[in-house]
Amino acid sequence: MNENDLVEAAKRGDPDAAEELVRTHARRLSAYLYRLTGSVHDSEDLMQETFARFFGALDAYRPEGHLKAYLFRIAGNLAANRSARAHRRDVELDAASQVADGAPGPYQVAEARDAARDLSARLAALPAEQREALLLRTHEGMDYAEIARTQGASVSAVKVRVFRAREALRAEVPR
Amino acid sequence: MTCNAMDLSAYVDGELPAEQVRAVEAHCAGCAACAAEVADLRALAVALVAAPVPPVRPAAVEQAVASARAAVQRPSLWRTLARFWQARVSVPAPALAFGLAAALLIASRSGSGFEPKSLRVTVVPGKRPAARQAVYEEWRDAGELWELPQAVPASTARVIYQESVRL
Repeated sequence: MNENDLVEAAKRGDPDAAEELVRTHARRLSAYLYRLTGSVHDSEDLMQETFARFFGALDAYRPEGHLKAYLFRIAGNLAANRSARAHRRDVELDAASQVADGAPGPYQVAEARDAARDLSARLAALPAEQREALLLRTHEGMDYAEIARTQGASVSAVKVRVFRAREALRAEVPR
Repeated sequence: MTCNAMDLSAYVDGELPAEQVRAVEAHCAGCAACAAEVADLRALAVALVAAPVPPVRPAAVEQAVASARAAVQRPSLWRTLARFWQARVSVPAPALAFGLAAALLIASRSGSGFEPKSLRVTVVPGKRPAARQAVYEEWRDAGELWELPQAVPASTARVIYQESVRL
């Protein structure tokens, strides 16, 4: 059963279809929300709220093969409406202190720990639409057209947002 | 091609058409600054992905699952109307339109939006054909029949019931 079939089944009241939809998207939505809010508590809370909004208005949803973009749009809007700054710094610092051990890549481990901390702070300071566009590109692998659908923006606007987000962050990456 | 930072960003994302990709690569072969910028952009992508994300707690997912399962099993105004239609219950179009409008009016006045939980129609006892009786019982058992709030006059309930449901 593909995703559109699951949505239609859920509309008919099939709880198993609803469950499968949640299990398919919950993990990535939570990770995305964590990167947006910097808070484990907020990311889980907003993930649940995202599904509550989706299933609460399920009858109005028209499946067009872009459920992921639709869910991420709800999540992004919810995150934008919630101020998580109080939690963000503490959680980021805790998480950043754990990153170096398992972080692969072309960078030295000690530098990566400091860079992750600085990068997270800089990411948090970006305008929401730039942060969302960049995260959807780098972490969700969405192309510009899919990000545009998610954000309700034009492809050219997404191109500019991703570019500006990178420009703001590049100074934080060790060379 | 001249140096264009935004194109380099799109290039790293694989968002440029083939012809432009070739132009960027030819340019970078002779432009150390742009070649370094491409390397920086790729490094940034790696650094972003390497940032840690705590795994979501299973309990949080299970809570979302439970809520979703419950949500789709709740009676929905639109779903119920669709089932009326699918069940081929005889409902004259003008009467259905009137009944729907009245139901929505009551829902909005009750301050509950369009939440069907608080939008219930009082079913007036009466003689029904067997087929409709079976549908009525199924919906009654599933809790999908609506009852009007007490503040609404019974005559209104009867109109909605008789005109839009006709079970």
